[in-house]
Amino acid sequence: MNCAEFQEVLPDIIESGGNPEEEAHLKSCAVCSDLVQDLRYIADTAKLLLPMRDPSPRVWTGIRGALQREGLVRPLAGTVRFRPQAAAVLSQRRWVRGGSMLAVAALLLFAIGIIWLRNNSTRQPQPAVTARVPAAAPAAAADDDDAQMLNFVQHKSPALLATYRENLESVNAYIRDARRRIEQDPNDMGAHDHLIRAYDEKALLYEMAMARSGE
Amino acid sequence: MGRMSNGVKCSLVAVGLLAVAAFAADNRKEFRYTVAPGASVTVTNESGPVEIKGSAGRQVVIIATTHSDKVEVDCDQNRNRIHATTHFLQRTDGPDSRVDYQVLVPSDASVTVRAPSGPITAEKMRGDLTLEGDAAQVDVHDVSNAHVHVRTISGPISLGNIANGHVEITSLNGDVRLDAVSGPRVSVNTVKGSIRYNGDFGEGGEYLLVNHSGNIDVTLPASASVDLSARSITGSVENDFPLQQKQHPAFAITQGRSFAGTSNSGASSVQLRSLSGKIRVKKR
Repeated sequence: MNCAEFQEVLPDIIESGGNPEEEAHLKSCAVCSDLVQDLRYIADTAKLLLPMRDPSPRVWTGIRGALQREGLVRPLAGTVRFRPQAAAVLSQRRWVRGGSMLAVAALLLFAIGIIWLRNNSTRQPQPAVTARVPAAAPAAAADDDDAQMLNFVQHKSPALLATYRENLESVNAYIRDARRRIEQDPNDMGAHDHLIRAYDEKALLYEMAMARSGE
Repeated sequence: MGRMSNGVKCSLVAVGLLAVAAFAADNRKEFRYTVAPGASVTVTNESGPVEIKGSAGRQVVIIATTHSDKVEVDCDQNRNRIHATTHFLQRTDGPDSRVDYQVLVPSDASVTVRAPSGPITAEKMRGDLTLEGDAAQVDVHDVSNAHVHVRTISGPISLGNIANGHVEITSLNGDVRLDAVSGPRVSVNTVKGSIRYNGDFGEGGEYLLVNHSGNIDVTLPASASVDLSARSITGSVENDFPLQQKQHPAFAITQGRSFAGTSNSGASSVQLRSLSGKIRVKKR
């Protein structure tokens, strides 16, 4: 089994563990092993959020740290940057759990997508891998999360729904264009950079949505 | 005639009562705090403008005007931190939810503003600024030696006369305009928003202007000392600024899609990147 084949079944491995062949690849490949370790860490950390009314800053710091260690996000600018203000604002509101879950889902999605992308871009000598970008499963998850985010905005600030919808379409178009370019030329590092920035922009949109406190 | 006069009188009285009621609803409150150097001030306002002005002295003055009894303003001081927050007493939106903030702070204070609808303005500051707004128009000018972080969804962002700044701007669809903005690090990221830079890029900074599909327009004087590269992956580039071609650019130069070169001593690094937008560099 090579890295490309392994990555195709990665979501299943994260969820339910791999078969002997996949486990063997995991043991022999440091890159895939690191990737799985990171994703499991993020998933485990995310679970901690569910029973809490007010997630500990440690959780956000942990997730952020994992992404930063991977070089997937840039350092924070000020204290409001990463820990969604929603966690503070919403902590006294009855549906904080839904907001936290949505934030976690979004973070997981971005982490998986970006880590996947980064993993692909670091293995450019393997054409079969470099040409591959996050595909069906993450895309479906993205659609679902997008819908949840828009529902969240609609609930909190109906007047801003159109703005968020429009901007979501814009940033998804950015992601699509960057992906398309990478498929055309996997060695175009500028396109890879655009894709990462596009995900950053999408993360910003989710963060801002979470920070809605119009109730 | 007499009846008409009475009618007019009645109308005037009614208008007067409405005016009084409106005036009464406009509730202006002023909060004053004394702070030490390096204070931090945070303003969270769900609806309405926030104006920040730096001043001499050590006082923070917050003037908040509400327009209904459905909202109130909570201000508190915790040592060297000041928080001002709009608090909703009833669920409301529209004009009733609006609060206008005017905030005077020591110019060295760090200020954080979250005002989704804005507008947000900040001027005459030397402390760090973190400004966030969804659709808020953000205007920052006359700031020096500060970190300036601005994030919007669709709100346009304008920065003017920023010296020695660490500037980080992120917007999705907001247009970004920078006039005379210089510093060790200036970065702008947008999706569809256009980016305009007018200035000389200072002496020795790192500038990165990136978008997806908007235009990037840069106008700089002949005296600018830059190491400039521009690339639009599927869009186009135009340049009428005299540059010396680099021997080893960071990417392959493609006619009409990218260029790179230096002027004078190439003191500042300037990277212009777009995925499908148009990049134009002009001499002032």
